[in-house]
Amino acid sequence: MASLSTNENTPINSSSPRNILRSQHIVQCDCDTQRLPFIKRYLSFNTKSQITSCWKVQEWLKYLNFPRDAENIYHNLLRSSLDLQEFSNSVRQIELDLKRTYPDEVYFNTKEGEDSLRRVLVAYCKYDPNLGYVQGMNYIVGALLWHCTEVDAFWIFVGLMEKHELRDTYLPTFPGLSKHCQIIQLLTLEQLPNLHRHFAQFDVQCRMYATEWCFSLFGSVVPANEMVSVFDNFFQKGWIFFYKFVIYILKRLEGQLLGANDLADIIMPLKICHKSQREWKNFLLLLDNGRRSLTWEIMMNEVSEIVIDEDYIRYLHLHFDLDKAQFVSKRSN
Amino acid sequence: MATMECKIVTLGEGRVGKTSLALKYVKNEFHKDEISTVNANYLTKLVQIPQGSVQLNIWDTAGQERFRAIASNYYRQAKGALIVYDITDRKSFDKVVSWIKELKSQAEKNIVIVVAGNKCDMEKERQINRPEALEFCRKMQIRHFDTSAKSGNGVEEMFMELASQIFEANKGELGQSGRNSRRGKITVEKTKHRENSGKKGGCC
Repeated sequence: MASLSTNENTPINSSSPRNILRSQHIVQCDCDTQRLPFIKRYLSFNTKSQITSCWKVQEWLKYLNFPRDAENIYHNLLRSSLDLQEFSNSVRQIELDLKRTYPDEVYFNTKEGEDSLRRVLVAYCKYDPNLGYVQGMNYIVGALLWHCTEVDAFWIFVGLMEKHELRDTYLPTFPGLSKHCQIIQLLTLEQLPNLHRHFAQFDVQCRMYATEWCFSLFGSVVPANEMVSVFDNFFQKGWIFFYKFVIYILKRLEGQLLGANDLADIIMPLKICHKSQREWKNFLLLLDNGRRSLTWEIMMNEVSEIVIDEDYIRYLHLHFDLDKAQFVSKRSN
Repeated sequence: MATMECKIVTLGEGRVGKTSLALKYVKNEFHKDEISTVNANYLTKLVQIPQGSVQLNIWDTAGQERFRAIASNYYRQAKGALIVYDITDRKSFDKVVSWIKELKSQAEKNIVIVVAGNKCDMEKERQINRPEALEFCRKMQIRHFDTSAKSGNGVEEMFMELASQIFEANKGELGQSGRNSRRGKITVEKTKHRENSGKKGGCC
């Protein structure tokens, strides 16, 4: 804490960081106002000056164990400098992606939004220099920042990486992605045998459609405000929720996909990317076969109702060899 | 007339405009802050050239170094590659060299490569001399195009050139497999793909 060595190279203002961080980043979500009784909701005008994490995030904090001096560690990371080629590559890439994260949300086009996103991502690169920054992280951190303070966003992200097997996904050669794709294929074979056959016929590989979902935990599809329920479920169910969500989308689109007789026509509906609220609504329409009755809440309920053999999947996860990127019959010592 | 179906990939450093070029060409859309590509996008367009028609199936790959490891999944069996750099960014031009090397050693032997110097609407901030880029591509025997996904300059010409070069390079196969094709479509690419897919276990 004592040595305030301002590093000119990093775009981080380090003079009295504590106050600056607290006041600069304003939580954007409306989770707290939504929770207020009807009348109070209309009387509260201070939603955009919220500087504490929203109540949903507060719930997660109960079972996520942050280090005792989480705030200090985060600030020290911001102030420290790292002289590594990989690190400067990461910083360069982060810089490129700042404007390309939730581009329709005004907040991420403002200086405050960009700065806080940059700070958390850069801090993570310093925290885990062997991994560095990988595209997709920007969506997860962006969605977290929508709902919580910078310090919370950073440590929740660390929690996802370390305790929820998210790190495997981003490792070089992406072993985690292989794991999830193989499981998704198994599940499609079991739950959607016709679609599985159809995919095989047109050589549609799981990687072609599920990679973005996997790298951004659906952040590239779902708007930042709604992402809170994705995290909510992910903290409770882990990757089981992820698989359910994938199967849910495939189930909803099955008719349409089976009707497509071209790799392009099959991939297109699955390659949905969230650029604007309009596209998000279009996606909901697509899932609902043109009807307008599907809402995000209904969707989340239906996802949780999907039945998959959770024990078997947990068993598979325990028997995945990261180096070989495949399932092995015995756990290696 | 027969349609040739072929796969092409876009390659290059991050944020040089790979997605923007592909989108401009296929959908005539341009977004100033295009979202970053994770892994790869997929677009297709049917191109009419004097010799016939070519269906371009474009795999638009992610620019980050980390994804380079899996880029080979996409350029494998590709008939054409579009390597993009940003004329205002020296580093992105240096990457072009390494991509060409990688394609020449790893990709199909007759792969058609074109290079695009993108963002030529930002002439003032140019860092790579035009003669330098042209000289380099001439040595490599690769066509170079100045493009701007924003204004649309050079985009159409580039994809047309790519399509007709691919057609020329592969018309031998077109004649041979023509008899077996379904609905008059020559799926040169797909049949090959299936031969190989048996060897790979799983999807990854």
